[in-house]
Amino acid sequence: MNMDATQRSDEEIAALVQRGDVEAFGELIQRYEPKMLRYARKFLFSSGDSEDQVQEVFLKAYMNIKSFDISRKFSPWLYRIAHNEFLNAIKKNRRLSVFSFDFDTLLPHPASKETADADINVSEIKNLLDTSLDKINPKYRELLVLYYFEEMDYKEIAEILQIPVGTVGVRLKRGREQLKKIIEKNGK
Amino acid sequence: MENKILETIKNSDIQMKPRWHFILKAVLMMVGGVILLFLVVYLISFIIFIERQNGAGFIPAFGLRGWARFLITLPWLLILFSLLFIGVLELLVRRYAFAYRRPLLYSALGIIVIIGVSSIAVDSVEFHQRFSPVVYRVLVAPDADDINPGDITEMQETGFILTKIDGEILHVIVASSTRSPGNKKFGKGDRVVVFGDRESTSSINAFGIRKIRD
Repeated sequence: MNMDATQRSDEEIAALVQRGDVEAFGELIQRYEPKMLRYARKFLFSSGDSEDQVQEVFLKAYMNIKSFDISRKFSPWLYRIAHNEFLNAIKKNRRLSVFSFDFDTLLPHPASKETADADINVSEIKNLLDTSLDKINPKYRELLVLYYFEEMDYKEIAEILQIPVGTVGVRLKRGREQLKKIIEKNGK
Repeated sequence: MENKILETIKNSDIQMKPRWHFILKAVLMMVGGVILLFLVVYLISFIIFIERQNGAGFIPAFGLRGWARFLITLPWLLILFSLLFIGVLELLVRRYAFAYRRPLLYSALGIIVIIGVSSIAVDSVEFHQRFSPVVYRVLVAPDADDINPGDITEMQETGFILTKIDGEILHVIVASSTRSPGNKKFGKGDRVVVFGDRESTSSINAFGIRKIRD
């Protein structure tokens, strides 16, 4: 592996790959494989093999690398590909309607602030999520995973899912409420 | 996993899509969106034109009966296609950041306003009067005997003679119960819409009369 590549940013490496440097793509895989595997395992659960899905994500990313705008951040672009692949896997297994309408994105929501006391709750919530993620609706599960495990902010999550920032706040709130209900039901 | 993926790439089992593929895709989507927009504007301005040509657009002024008849005579198939195309247009627009970063309501309203204003503009330059009469006659031949737009050609004691746009001549019977929005008086040369049941093939009991033009 080219030692120089490890010092480059994701976007610089993507530019190399666009110019035909296949080995440089290996550096991107190394950087994102653990994140993608974690994202897949926590989002997919029983809906397909996580490793196969992550492999598909990287292959899709390579095939479409020339659509990536190097003036933008690489991470949301890759996560967007992963989101689409994982969603397809869930829909395939659960026979969900492809054309389900998303009411959360219809109306404006008051701006949701990322609360200052979030740090105190985060580790506690992560522990609780680990035991209950599979019981949460995939629509909220994905947001909880991106926020608590991938440590993304509202804006990054909004870009990946292509939804308004206000909707991110609403769904996170509903996800936490659902988690709370599950925990109360299980008497934890 | 890294080695497996790189091996797949090097064995040419998958290929990097060329840049022109994405450019072409973006151009096609944009062209498709523009065509759809023109189609919807044409359809909606045509619906406005139809409603004015057959007079049905004026009869809601005659109360509940007018509204009921107006709704029945609307070109529902054209309206359905318009709504379908607007839906597809919204799906296309939602792929862009300026749309998906905002609630769906905003982009939907934006599309509706653009289409509404454009349709009214197309209608105001009499586009369909010039280019769509054949389409209108073939596809939307008016068959409502009770909605009659035309010109008053002669005033009479019991009403007036109406020459319809298609040339048919009718004797319009005006009673004290006949409704007239704004209680306007009618005279020879006025263009009006007469709403009411036919007493015979050539006479009509006017339930309501509305002036369209002096």
